[in-house]
Amino acid sequence: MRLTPSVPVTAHVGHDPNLVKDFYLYVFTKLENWSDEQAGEILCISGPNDGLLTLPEEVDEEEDSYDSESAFESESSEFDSDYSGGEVYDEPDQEFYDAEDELVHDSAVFVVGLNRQTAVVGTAAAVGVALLWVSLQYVRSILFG
Amino acid sequence: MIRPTEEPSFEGAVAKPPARTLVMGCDGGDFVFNLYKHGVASATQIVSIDISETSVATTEQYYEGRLPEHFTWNCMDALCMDYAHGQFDLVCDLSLLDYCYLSEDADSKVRQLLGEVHRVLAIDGQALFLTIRAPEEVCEFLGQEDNGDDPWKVDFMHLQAKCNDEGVVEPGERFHTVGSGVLEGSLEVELSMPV
Repeated sequence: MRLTPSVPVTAHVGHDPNLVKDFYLYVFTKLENWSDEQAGEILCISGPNDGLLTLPEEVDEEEDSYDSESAFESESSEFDSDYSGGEVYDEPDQEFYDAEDELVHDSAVFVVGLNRQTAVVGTAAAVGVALLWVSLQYVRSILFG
Repeated sequence: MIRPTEEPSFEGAVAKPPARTLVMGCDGGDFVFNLYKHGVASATQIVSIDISETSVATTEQYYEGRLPEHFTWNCMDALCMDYAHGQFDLVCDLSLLDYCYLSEDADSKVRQLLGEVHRVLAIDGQALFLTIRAPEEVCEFLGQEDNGDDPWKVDFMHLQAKCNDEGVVEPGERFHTVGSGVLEGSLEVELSMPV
């Protein structure tokens, strides 16, 4: 890259423009052969506040790009369409949403999803047992009066 | 503190049109609005941050409906940003670097700022700093590995205000370029374009 001499940057200094007449426009280009971890090590190599640079210890790119809000909405609507009754699992447990950690938040979505599926399966099983019991009673009444 | 006051354009300074731009220190929003008018309007995402909640709220309210929806405003500390690694192609700073230099723990603050900017930039991403700091001062913070690998490639342009016959700056006048060069991460500075 080459800077042209005609970049029309105009500037002024807030309080006393007469004091400063020289400015510099720097163009920093992040080089390919450097990782963020390396940069953190080098740029924080000294100074009283070493370690304040907020480089996460482990970065999962997929996790970073995961939109928990939209994921929750889509998953919730999916479960809502599958779930046909009951009030117990209509609202997710509030304690999950008091946590600030997104991982906990996402886990909560997963747990709520499991619970809702469990509820559907449980309800269906209960109805099935009831129908079987009624059928047996009906057959019994026919056979034995 | 240092603000482009008219038609700032980085055409020629940026290698390629950025898709994702971060503006640090958006106080007032004038610079962002000028970016919109001068060549960065095609960006798919322009995020502006400022550490002042009041400033962000006021700016956001003022520009509501005047800028496209891909211009967003966030209250955030540039020394500790919430953004993911490599999220931006271009970072513009107008005065934060100078504020860091003027702070009590300047050394730490400057390193933090450069480190955070480096972190949120994509590979080959670029950061623009308009500052009163000379190359000799900036070089101290670039760092260099023993094998010669540098975190940055740094080009710079020396701009000078127009002065009157007594050598006093004439406020509001356009700055002109008096030199440029490349910092290779070491202290080698070369002004290749004399006045």
